[in-house]
Amino acid sequence: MFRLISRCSRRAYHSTSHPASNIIVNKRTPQGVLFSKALDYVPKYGFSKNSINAAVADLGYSDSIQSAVSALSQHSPEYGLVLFWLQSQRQKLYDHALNENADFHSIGDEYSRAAYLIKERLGYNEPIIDHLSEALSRLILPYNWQLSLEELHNLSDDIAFYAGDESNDSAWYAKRFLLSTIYVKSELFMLQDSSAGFERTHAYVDESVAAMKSMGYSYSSVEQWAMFNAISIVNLIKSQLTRG
Amino acid sequence: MFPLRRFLATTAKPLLQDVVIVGGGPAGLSLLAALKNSPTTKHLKCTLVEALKLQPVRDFGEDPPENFHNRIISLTPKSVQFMQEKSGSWDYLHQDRVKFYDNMVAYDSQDSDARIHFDASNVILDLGALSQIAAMCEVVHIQASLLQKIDALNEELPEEDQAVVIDEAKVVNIIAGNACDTIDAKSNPQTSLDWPVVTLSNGQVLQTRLLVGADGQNSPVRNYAEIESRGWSYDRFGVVGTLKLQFNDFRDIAWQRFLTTGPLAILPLPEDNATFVWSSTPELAEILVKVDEKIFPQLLNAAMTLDEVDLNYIYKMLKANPADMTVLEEIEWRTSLIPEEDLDEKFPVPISELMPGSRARFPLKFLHADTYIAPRVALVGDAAHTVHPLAGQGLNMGQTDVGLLVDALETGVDRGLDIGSTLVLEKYVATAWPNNHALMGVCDKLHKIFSTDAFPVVALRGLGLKSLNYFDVVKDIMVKAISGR
Repeated sequence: MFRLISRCSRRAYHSTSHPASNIIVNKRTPQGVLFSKALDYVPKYGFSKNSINAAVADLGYSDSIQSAVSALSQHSPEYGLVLFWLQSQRQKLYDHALNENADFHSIGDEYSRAAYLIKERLGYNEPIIDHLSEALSRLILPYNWQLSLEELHNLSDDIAFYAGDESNDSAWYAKRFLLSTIYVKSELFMLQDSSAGFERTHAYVDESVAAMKSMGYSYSSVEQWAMFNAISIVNLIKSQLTRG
Repeated sequence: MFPLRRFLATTAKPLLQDVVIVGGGPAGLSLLAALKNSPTTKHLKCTLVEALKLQPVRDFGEDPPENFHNRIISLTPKSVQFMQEKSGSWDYLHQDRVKFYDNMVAYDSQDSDARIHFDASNVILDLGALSQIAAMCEVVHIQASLLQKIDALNEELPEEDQAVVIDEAKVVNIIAGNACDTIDAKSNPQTSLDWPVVTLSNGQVLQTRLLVGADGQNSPVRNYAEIESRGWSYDRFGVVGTLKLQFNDFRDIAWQRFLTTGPLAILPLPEDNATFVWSSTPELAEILVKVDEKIFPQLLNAAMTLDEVDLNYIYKMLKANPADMTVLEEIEWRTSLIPEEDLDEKFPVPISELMPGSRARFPLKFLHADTYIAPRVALVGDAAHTVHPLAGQGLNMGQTDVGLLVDALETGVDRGLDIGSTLVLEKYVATAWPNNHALMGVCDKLHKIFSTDAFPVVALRGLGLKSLNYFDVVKDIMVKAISGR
């Protein structure tokens, strides 16, 4: 009986209040162990075979483990490392958003929260900034971009969600699309940015998010206004029809 | 056995009325006074229901306090004419508390040379009517004058025709008359009428031929009639208060500055008194009501003269500490950069004092009901429409509504029709709705144009204001429009 009820009461929808698996990267798999170690070498060697080699040597594994890891994926181990790095940064952002002591929770406005998160995420690039262009060039290779775009979408989805997006119409897509664009543009901006503490990148993010906000405001104002006037025309005609 | 007892409120026999007005604000009271003042409709049995006590309002009429109340509105000449001719309440106003002005200056915060000066004294009006833009008057003052007029009318009317004003009674519910048909049609044959039945919190039950909703934005009457009201919230608050000027300004000018956070208006009151209406973002409104009463007058002076960059800096200081006295030096220094003759000529007389405790804020909305009528129901005033206060049209639109509704009812009575039928009321909606819609559209557009700091819009509106300022003919037409002619 109990089993029957529990089966019937299974949710057919996704609920945010239901704790699900929030592990974005699993660091316990052989690949996870190896890549986590390899990330330590990225600032030094970049997203290259050298980092992985150094990690293998560090962990005391035999070199054959490399073939085991590369057999799991159709992509190159270097690309795997880049993707792993992106995912682990996304995990870090998630942990940051959950951290109750973060400044993030004192920001009220949805767009300011999104800007904060983008800046926080860009901040994670700082240690590897010298190798970022290398990572990006791997991400945009034609046979990689499907996975890369998926990862980008996951990031913008996370940012929109942590920022408190509650839209359930076309704005849902628009926001994520715009956040992705802003993120990519800001990352490219960051590569060229030589200001102290990436101040100009931060200003650029704020500016782009403000533009997105005003765009959203204009769009919804126009929509609201058009709807109001459409109905008003009907009301106006109705009021005059009675004159006979 | 125990005798069967009924606990239903419907056992009270409803009192039959011709017109029941819900809401004792300016719109509701005007309607009652106008109906009783008109020879055609004065025989109608009218009752007005108000939730609050009206005694303080009557006391105000008898013996007005020295200081001005913070709810002040501008009456257009059209409304004044209505009060003189239709409701007849004009003579009951204390004229020394009403301030006419014939000049209006509106200017842009992005470019203080982009300004427009309206001067109604140049406008030649037909019939030699008042050449004024508007008159400033307290809302409670208008209510008091209307109550006095109603009392005076009641003295002349025979007992059965006298208007009844019930205060301190909330409307508990409104049901359609024939809805209670099934309950006790036998015991109470009157319920077979389709007239709406209004139950009050003091236990009185009224059944009325025509129910008028003058009961504000969240109108229960509108809900009963299932009339949808559409629009949006501006995400802005209006902050109001009364002020003392440094000296009496004999120029009689109403000043309005369009800040990107919303327009700020300083409007003249008799002698050295003035009032302000500051539309602002929710965050700014929060600061404005908190700012120390000593700093606030200087903040207003600053907001009328300084650049937005300076203002934003000052807001930031005040947000951190609303009683930060260093702000005063900051404002003084920044103001000292403006040439003296500009300060004298282009900007209002400096404000010296804020009346303690007179600041209040309220959210700004744009709402318009789909229609003003339903069978046996009519809406007037804020129940029908809520508008941005930047052009000071809200109460005046309510007065126009009342005038048109009375016209429609007079026609209905003359033709021997049932005044609750839509046949009579349709004339009201056909005349009132389109005008209100247009007027509300203009106010909304003004808000939208001036609430942006986007460069092309700023440049265009600056050009627009400057060039418009040279065309007296166009300005005169606009003055006529603002003053409701």
